Amino acid sequence: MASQKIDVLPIAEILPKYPTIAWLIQKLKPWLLKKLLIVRPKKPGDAYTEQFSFPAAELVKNKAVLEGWIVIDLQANDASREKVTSAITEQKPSFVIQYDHGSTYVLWGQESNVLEPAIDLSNVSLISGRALSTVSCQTAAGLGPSAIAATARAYLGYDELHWVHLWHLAEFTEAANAANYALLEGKTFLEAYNIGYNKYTQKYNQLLPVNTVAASLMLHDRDHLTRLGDPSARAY
Amino acid sequence: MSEKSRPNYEEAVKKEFEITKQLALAEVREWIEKIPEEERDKPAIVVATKVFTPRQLVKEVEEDTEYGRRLVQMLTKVRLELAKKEG
Repeated sequence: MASQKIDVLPIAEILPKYPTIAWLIQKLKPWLLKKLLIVRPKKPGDAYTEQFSFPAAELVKNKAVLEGWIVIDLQANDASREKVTSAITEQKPSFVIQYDHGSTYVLWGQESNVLEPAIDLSNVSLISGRALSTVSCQTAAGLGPSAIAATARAYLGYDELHWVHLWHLAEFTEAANAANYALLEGKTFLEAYNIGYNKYTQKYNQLLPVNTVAASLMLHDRDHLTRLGDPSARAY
Repeated sequence: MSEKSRPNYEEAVKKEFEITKQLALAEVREWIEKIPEEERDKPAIVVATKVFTPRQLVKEVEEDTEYGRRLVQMLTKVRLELAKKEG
């Protein structure tokens, strides 16, 4: 069974021979601010989470560790409402990333191989003061505005269904991850949105001569990527 | 134009949707014809907790289901994008 893990770069890899105060401050900053919670269910028999969202989130996690983030990774049945709640209240991440199913007012989690609401209107205040990005269906049309009303700093998601073509997983993963990589690098939500949008366009143009239907899904996902809240906000 | 020959708005909209659907259907059929026979029943598209094979997708459009309608809209958007580039 997957478990909650905290991943950081090994200390020997980042410690110079003669650390200066400035260097120490710079390196300690992530410990104070760059804390990321990843929520990524993986429901047995569910193609979206098993084949697309779970592995896509793995790449995001690797990127986060490389960028110096402390990562709390709630996988599969550990992505339960209870564990999401305690991770946010106790670990206080500045940034929450969810890869899974979504519906208008619910970011879904998972417990005992069943999907369960992880964040919805009744606990959306958990996102207050934090930034959130989700690769899932529809939440930017409902939960997103509610999160912003509950003083979340910024929200990136989709205001419609998120479609994926399983024969072009690499392209869909790259497009879906682009904005999140940008946020992990410290870019603003506006910059990250633009990077994500442009990546979708690039992948659409690549797919168009090969597979019209896959291209149409890519275009749809691009046009429903939605940014809410402060455009100049960063993930930390 | 006489009252008799004036088109009924609802009927016209219905007819126009049917044209759009037929255009998308032609697109999906052209797409499936390029796919080898043995791959037409392989899972291809995933949305929410649904998975569709190419053959199922054609059926969704033919039967005018919720997902079929959405696919029609998405293919229409591609046609629009292409027309913008050609213009």
